[in-house]
Amino acid sequence: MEILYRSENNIQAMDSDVDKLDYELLLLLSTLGANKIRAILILAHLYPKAITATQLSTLLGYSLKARTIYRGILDDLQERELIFLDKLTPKVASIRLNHENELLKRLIDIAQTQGTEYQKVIEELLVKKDEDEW
Amino acid sequence: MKMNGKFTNLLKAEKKPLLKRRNVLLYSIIGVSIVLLIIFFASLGYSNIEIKPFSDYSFADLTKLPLDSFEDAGFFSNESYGTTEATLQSAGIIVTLPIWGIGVLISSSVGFSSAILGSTLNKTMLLENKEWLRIWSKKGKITSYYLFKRVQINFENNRISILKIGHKYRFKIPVTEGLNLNKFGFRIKNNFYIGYFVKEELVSTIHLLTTQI
Repeated sequence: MEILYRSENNIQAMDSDVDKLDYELLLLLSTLGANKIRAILILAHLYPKAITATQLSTLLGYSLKARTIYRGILDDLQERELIFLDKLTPKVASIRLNHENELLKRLIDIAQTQGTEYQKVIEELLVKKDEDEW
Repeated sequence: MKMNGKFTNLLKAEKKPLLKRRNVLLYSIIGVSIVLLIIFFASLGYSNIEIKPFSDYSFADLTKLPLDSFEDAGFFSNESYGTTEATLQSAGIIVTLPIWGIGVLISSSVGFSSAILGSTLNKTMLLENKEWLRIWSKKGKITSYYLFKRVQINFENNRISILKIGHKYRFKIPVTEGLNLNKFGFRIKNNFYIGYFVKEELVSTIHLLTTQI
């Protein structure tokens, strides 16, 4: 009985930890397609750094010739005001997560505190890509 | 550090089939119909075509059965092709062609119309009898379906309309007090929240809306 009582307490503790904002963040992510979620997660881990569309498409595994990332992912995310897409030149765009969105701000907080390993992996991928180019 | 193969695989984009099965069927029907139409037009090469002005026809001529007008128009059966011939008479144009040409024309017409009708119905019925649509019945009431890919759901205080535009579904929800959909990627336009979603995102979006409205 004591064990059962403890486990119930644990569940109650978990309930109080998971607040409304976290749940809404999950809802937001669930309304995005798989590649959009990956893009958002990568940008959250890289925040406040901005990356180019070419770098993002490399991280997502897209062919650089395909240009699918603009049409299918970035345009949509920008339309929903989830990212900032600043076109530096007609062909080069700087991409950042929209930190003004309260849910994405929460995601950035989580990514910065819990996602250090993932940050390393992404940064290594970017460095490797730059080395390949040279 | 050596790259982890599994990780890079996870990052890779999911590949979608270029053509879905039903599209392949649709394109096949249209393709076959086009081939049949080409055969039909080729068959016109073995036909006699004569264009006469309306004044040359009496009312009696125009109401005659095509096979009757065949003799009146002065054509004679061309036995050299070894086929029975028939005439099509319309608006002063008399076309005499082999009977198999008419068969080809009819079958290609049926093929075309069924393909177009099938695709229209298919698109229209995308909004009906779908699991994602049934989710609404738990929260709101589906008041009306419209032809051409539109559906409307009424709630006590709110109303949602979903319209399929190309490959995307447009959600339109009136802006009300206490409802903040901006953070979920909806934009406000003309006092409505507008959001565009692809089919794969529909169920999650509806679930999201049912928790918010």
